[in-house]
Amino acid sequence: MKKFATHLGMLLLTLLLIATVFDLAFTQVYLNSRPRTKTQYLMQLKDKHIDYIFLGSSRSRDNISPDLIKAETGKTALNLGIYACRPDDLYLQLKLLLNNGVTFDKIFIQLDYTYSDSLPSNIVGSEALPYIHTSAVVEKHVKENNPKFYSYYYIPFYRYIDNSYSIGFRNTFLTLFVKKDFNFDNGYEAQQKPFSDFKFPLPEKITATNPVVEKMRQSCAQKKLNVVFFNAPYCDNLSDYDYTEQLKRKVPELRDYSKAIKGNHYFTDCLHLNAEGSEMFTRLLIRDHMSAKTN
Amino acid sequence: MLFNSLAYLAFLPAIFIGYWILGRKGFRAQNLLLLSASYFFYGCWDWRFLFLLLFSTALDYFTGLKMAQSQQPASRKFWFWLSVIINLGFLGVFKYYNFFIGSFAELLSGFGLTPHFWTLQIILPVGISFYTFHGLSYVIDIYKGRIVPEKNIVTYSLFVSYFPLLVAGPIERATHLLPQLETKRVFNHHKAIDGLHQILWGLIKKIVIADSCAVYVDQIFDKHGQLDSLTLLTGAVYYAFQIYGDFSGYSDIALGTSKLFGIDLLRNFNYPYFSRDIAEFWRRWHISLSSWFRDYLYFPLGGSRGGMLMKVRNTFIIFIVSGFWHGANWTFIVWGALNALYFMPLLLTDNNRNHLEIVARGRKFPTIRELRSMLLTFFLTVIAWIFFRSPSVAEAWDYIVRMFSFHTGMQKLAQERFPIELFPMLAAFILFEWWSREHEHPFFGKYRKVRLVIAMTALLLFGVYSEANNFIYFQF
Repeated sequence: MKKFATHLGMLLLTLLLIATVFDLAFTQVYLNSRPRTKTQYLMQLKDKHIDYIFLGSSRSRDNISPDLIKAETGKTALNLGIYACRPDDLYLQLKLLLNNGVTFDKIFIQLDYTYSDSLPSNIVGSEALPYIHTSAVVEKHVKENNPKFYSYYYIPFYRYIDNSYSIGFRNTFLTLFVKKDFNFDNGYEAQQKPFSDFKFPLPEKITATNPVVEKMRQSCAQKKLNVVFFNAPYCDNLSDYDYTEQLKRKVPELRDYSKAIKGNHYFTDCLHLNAEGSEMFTRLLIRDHMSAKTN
Repeated sequence: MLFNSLAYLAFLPAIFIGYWILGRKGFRAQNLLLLSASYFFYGCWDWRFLFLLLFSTALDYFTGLKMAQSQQPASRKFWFWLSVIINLGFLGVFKYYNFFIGSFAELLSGFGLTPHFWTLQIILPVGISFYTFHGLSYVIDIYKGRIVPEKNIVTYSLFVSYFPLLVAGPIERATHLLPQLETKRVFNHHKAIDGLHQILWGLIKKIVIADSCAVYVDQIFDKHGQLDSLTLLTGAVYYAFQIYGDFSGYSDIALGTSKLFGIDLLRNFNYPYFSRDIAEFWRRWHISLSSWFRDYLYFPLGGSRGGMLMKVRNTFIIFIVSGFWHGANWTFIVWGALNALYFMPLLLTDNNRNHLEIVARGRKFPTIRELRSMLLTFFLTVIAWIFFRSPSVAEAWDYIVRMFSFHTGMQKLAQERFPIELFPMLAAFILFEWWSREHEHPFFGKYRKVRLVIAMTALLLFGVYSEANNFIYFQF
């Protein structure tokens, strides 16, 4: 039994050693490489002024064109929309922006059916894990929201294997060797696909209160941020807007654009605009919330 | 509780320590601990199905004893058939009822009738096909006079419910496992270390190979209508490795775990993708099931005795039944029938027992001819796996037609994945398997430590841990 225990101990020790080496190596890659994701870009964005910043899901990423804003108003804009983002993802993004000394005239935060989702940050939360030892904001956010914080913090390499879909070997390899053909100063991803009749009924009931959204609203109020909570457009096929009406009662300052674009040919599916539709939507945002630069 | 979960990582050492401490009190105490652990392990899936397992165990234990006590052949026959009918009845209700009802309704609708049958909203109890076959082999062996019934209910229950093999095999035989459970197990550190290494290799196959392939396979099969021929071929090849890594990985973990308790289980896989023909493939793939069907179905049907027509009939029967055993879907039946078709040329020319030894034994490389035979056999299995993986025969056929449409141009999958990304990893895996083909796993000989380090590195670097993926064979 002693021989077996010794052998098992040696195996575990070797495993721990390999894990420690990889933990250090992976972390260095994320700290020092050119960003490949918006989260990495955000982590490296420091002490910069951007006139307009957009936080949201793919319904922001695909729907708002910073280049058009720049052309129309002469002001800088950054679209930080990420596919499938939850409110907690947006809250983490907001905290990172503020902590990194990024200033802005106005911040736009997309709120819609995701109001009912108060789960911890998934996308940004996992992509930010390489910075858990170097960013106080990330450390605090994960500690407060993720029950796995201590495992992530103290077990070498655990955060990388537990989130292998976003920071595992494949993404680390790509971060190190394959540069992303992506314009981070913009963040907009124009969609060209034809409309597909993708059915998406809004949830029937809205959650009583989303604590993350409430924290975000309080934080914006305390810091006197010029914030616009907005709802992006839906296609004509969506007929039941009861959820949106309930959302407007929960967040009275919400700017509702859910019915702002008419015609399915401006959409790629019921949730996302195509390039032409996104141009129309961006112009609406410019008209309602932005002013031209005065020299 | 999955073998690749953290819960199992806590469960196994606890049982291991308790088991060897109890070793001083004798094997009965060890058996009782293993049985309790097995019921706990099974209950972690769904405790309600424990009652079914207990009933099945009690039924076979009781009918086994009754058969042995019966003086009259008619009485023996009665207890035997009672057990067989109830066992198969449970399997039929839980696994096949909806399939038969659905197929019958579809047949009638073809005649313009619209029948309304009851379908059952039932969940398939995990491992039911495996423990039912354990029980069946036990009662058949008693009936045939090959074994005497086990009198100790704990020992018998452990034979049926032993947790390493409970949910996905290997399908054990009473003649192999029961004698081991009836004697004192002494700790053997060579066997325990071997078991540990086999568990590690099983984890590599499951977490690194199968789960990595699964990411691509799911995307390719789900969207096969939009993808080009090469991507579809790649998806089919990946599935061949996924199912091999998944199932043989599970078996390795089961065998390795059992070695930690000093108990040997039947080997279930023996490098099937190095087979030179389909007959050899079936001697190396899911060996415990193939041999079960051979002994309890093929031989009773007459086996290879009788004329060629009889041989052909029996071969088709066992392949189709074997396919149907996997699940209530026509895809499995077609998969079985296709394998029977592959088998026919070998059977008809009496070449089905040509390759009994592993390929290139004692040599480093295969000959060109051997390589060609292996590639052809692998290709045939890949085609058959498409039916196994697809949700319907029509979709499988569509997949194959598109694969051979020779529409080229590799497309990217979601998350910027290139379909061929896994090729280097699979090439390394094949090399590892090739070097180890005369052993159960690659951790042997002079470079054992180097291979262990490489394996652990691969496990950390390439493993898919984002979610603990279920084993494919749990659904059977």
